[in-house]
Amino acid sequence: MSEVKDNKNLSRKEVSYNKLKGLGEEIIEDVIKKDIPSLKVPSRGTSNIVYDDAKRYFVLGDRYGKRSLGNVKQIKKIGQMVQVANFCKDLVQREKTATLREMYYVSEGWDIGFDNQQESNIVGEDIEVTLGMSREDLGLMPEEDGASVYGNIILKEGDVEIDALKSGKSGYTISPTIDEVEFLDHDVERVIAVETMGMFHRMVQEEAYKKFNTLIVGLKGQAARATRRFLKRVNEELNLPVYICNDGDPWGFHIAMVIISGSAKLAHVNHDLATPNAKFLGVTASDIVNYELPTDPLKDIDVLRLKELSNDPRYRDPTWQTEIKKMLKIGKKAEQQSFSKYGLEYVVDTYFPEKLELLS
Amino acid sequence: MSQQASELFDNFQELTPSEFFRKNKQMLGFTGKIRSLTIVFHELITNSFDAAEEAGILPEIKIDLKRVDKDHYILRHSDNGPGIPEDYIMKVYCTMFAGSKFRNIQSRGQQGLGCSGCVLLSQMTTGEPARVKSAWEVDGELKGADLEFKMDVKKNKGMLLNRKSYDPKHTGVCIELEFKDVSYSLAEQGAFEYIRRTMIGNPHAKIIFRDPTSHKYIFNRAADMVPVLPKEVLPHPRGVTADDLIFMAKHTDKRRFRSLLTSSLSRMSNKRIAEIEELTGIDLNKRPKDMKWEEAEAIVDAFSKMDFMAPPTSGLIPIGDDQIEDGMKEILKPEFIAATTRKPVTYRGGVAFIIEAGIAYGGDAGRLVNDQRKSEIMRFANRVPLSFDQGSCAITEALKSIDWKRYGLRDLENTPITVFVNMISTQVPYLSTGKQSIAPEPEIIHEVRQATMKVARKLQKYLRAKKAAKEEAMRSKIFEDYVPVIIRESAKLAETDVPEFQEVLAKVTRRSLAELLGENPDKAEEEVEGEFASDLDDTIENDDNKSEETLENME
Repeated sequence: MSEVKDNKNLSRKEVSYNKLKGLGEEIIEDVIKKDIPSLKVPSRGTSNIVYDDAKRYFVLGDRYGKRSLGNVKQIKKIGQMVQVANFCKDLVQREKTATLREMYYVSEGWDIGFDNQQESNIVGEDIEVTLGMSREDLGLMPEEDGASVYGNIILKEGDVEIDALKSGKSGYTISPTIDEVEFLDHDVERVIAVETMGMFHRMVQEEAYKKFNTLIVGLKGQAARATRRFLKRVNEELNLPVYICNDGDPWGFHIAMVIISGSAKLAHVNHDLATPNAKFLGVTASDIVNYELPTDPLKDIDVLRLKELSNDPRYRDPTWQTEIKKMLKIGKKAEQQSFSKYGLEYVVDTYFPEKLELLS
Repeated sequence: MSQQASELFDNFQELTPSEFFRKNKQMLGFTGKIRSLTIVFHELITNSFDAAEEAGILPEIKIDLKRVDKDHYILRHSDNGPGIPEDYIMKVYCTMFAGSKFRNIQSRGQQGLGCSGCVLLSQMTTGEPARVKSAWEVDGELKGADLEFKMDVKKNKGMLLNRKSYDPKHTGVCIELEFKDVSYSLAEQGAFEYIRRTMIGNPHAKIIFRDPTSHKYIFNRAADMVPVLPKEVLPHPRGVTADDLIFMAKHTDKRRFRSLLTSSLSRMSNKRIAEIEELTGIDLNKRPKDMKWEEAEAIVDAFSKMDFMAPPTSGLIPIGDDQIEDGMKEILKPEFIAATTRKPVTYRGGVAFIIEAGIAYGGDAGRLVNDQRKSEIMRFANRVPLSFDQGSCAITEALKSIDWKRYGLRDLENTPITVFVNMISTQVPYLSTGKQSIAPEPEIIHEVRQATMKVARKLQKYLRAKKAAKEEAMRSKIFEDYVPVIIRESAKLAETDVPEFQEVLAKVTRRSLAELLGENPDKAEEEVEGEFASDLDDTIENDDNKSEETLENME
């Protein structure tokens, strides 16, 4: 087993704490100087979200709005931001987490409240963007479950050591607070993420983790932020190549692409979430043809989505362009499970080895 | 069974005006119980006003209405006017079509029927005599008479029942009449509302009214000037008919057509006379009594083809903006008021008129309906409130045609405003004998619209400013509420003491005021934020989010 790199949890906590404190200091300094306090909040309108070719994911541009205490429309937002920041600082300090919904209920007791949860969610995002941090760093947790990991890796959550190979057939469930999890040890060469839990269980049953010396990650559809963070961390901290296997349709393509290049909506935290080195394993349009897979015809909405993808800068790569065109041309899509046409073992015995060889 | 002509004419009778109106009292406006009493108030009040003004006295009227029984009242009405000399008292109150109001002059009443009509109604419904106490001045000496009389309808004159003399303290007339089949009401058409409106149109008057419940209302005068008396003006050529010309020709002392025309009509010069001769071929040096009907018709026809200056307007005396405002302030105690008086113009090419309009907002303006104030229209003609027949009236039509939303009045119906419109003219084109609505002549409608829209614009400006002030107060409150919280929370965040922030708070509040006044303190900052804010609202949910949702649905 190789030595895991030293973890950065403690420093992350400190950074979060100091950044939140700094927000307050910025305002107090202005007050002492008898200036009207203001905050710079990066704009996250579409026109300020740009695809960074070098980084290979979406980043925020340099446009920002200034929120002044002297503006009647902005003062309430500043008040809400400061209160949320205090709430988060307390969470970080006490090493607790809360969901956005919980924060919304706590805010009932604040002097400057929210009209609805949508408003509090947006202010949460405002702070993420302003401080350049993810909400997990602020102690605010998403409510959705993380995905499952199965394979030879040992993690440490607080005082508990977890062996993902000995956590039952469903594996280890990625915690929303994945940044606080330490990687203690592992003995794998790669990570293969699959879109559905059906495929995840198939791979466990066929002992794919042994055959390919891999971690298996079940994404459960669109990958949660914690899952994306997990994939990025194993890729960067453990130097493991990441492969993604999804359905052969525009939606499957895009689940993979959000893991690889990040989402526009979360452009301000993509540096923590995107895994530009991750590779799309399949199912491609070429696979549909080469393996003569059972298919469904493309629906109108699929065609529309494929056309959208072909204009998306994240799909500028010639391979993607070819695959999108090919799918439009054959007018067909296929699910991962369609390999079962050749028997339940086929996908692990034949398809994965062939594709992995192709990509390496 | 045929009758001879002589037999048929055995029953032939001559009908006096009194007899005629006894049978046709609706022609005097006496229809309905509420309306009848309102008309009585109207006749007595206008008569008192006219008399006082002609004598240069500020009118002061006391009205006392006692209820005897259901639909049965005793009315006592006294004024401070010049009084009526004894010889004329019964002529004024018992002889119909007697009076001084048959001239081309702006006046409240016109037909000289008013007072005698009231006596007639009283007598017809109760059989009781009228009682009049009059006090007048002769060569600096006050004289008084106290008469009780009835109207002899057959003879169209008074019948004295009792005479007393008394020692008056000041001039004036006091009349006491008893009525049945009338009803006192607080409705919009009722007697009380009539007085209230009269006070708005006549701010120089004072009325003390004791209602049937003995409640005493004192309507004080808002202006201390007796209105300038309107002058009689000669008729404008466009306003006369062939019959008018023949009538003038019969009763003139002029020796020639041309001098008849120049002396009886306004805007008639020698140049115009020559023009008429040219157009009609009539020799205008003829004697007036030789004028034939056909010639009169030809001349009237010529008038319609000629260009005349507008009629002189010296005969028109408007109430005036200031006085309208004073009157409305006194009665409606509004929070906002605006009034305007238009320049004189003509309708039908030859009748001069002036439109005045005012708007009162807030306070007691508007009608009170179940504790909620609604908008109301007050129509006037020569200062006299028009209470009935508002449906087809030029004023109502003009006001209805205005797009009130343009003036910030989204829900006019439920706005506490009173719209006042007065038409001043020597000939108000009433639609019916009741004289309660004005014919919708296009020129009149136009003027009413223009006048009202002008005051509506002022109201709009006021309402805007009021809204801005309210907003300002709200803004200040936001800052006062939020700034301390934010600085306290920021200090907690920064783990430091709360600094002194009064100066920053003052700065912020001042800045907000400047912003409101349009002096944008830092425009550039605002613009960036504006863009940001719209970004936030519109595009926070972008493509990824959509696809994520769709994916979730697919699962």
